[in-house]
Amino acid sequence: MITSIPPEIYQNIFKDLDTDSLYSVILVNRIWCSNAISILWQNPLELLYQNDDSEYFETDVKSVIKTYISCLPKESKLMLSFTDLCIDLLTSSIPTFNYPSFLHTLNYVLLSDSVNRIIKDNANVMMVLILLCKLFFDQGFHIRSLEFSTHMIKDYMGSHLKTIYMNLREIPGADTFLSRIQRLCWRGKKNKKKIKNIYIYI
Amino acid sequence: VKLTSSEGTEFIIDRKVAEKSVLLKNMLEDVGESDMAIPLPNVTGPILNKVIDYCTHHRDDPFVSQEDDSKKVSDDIDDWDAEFCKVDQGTLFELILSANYLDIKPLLDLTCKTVANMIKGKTPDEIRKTFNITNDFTPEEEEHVRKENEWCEER
Repeated sequence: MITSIPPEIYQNIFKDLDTDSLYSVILVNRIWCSNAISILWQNPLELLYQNDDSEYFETDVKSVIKTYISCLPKESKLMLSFTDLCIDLLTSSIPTFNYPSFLHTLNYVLLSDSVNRIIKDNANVMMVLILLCKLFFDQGFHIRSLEFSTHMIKDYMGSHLKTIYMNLREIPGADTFLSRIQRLCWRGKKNKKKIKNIYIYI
Repeated sequence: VKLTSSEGTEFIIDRKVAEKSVLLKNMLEDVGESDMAIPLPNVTGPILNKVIDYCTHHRDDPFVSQEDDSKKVSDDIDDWDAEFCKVDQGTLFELILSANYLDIKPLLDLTCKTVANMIKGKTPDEIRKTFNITNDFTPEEEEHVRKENEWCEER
């Protein structure tokens, strides 16, 4: 009986499920998977940062970034293969889904913090960030909201991890991407001068 | 208002009850008052009976529009609604399809929520058993999906 229901009804059933239940749902069968996967990937980093004292936090962040890296186009992967990036971040396998296309909100600060956590060398961090941003610009058809929010990162101010701000407009595809953005968000503690800077970055 | 189910059974209900269904509401607005029965070839008699029960009980509820549904669908289902959803799975899914067809959003949300509650906290295998679903993944596909979504794994 459940096999005859249309996709929009699956979505209605799955939309309020918690992450654990959704993870079960995507492993049930192909139809369930394809209807639930987009809900799971609407904003995975934010989900993880909400629970950043988990002992698996860094492993999980790495897993998300790794999946995104597997979605990079061939040329980007080739570029990364010339770096001394740890091998386990680069896989040759073709991803089951176009994961970046499910993202609803791009929080640049969380993305940058995540990449910083798992890659040590600064030049490599920069390169991965640029390639991922380009990936989200090209494939993130559902991104309507761009965030620069630092409030979710607990050790943000005192940390050795620094967000790398770069001029997003210099990345190819930025104009088309930014024209789709309907909401720009900045949330953080103190540090007012950053607000002015965002204006310059985009 | 007269309605006919798929097997031709006739139901007579208040216009106010019928208008819980956006499909019927629009039809009635277009056609105006008429003695003609509205045929509902997609809905069987017993299901239509249930739907009418629901709409009669909720006849005075305020209308919720499509837009403001974001967070109002909470976990609490009231006793009457919970009792209403205590039906076999076949009926539950027919109710979902009918609510979708007749465009009765609160009934659709309620029935979907009921199914969601049946999923919550279960393993993939338990879900398959509950809904009698076969796993059509190849072992490789399943392994890929598992790997790509490792970050949600419960430990």
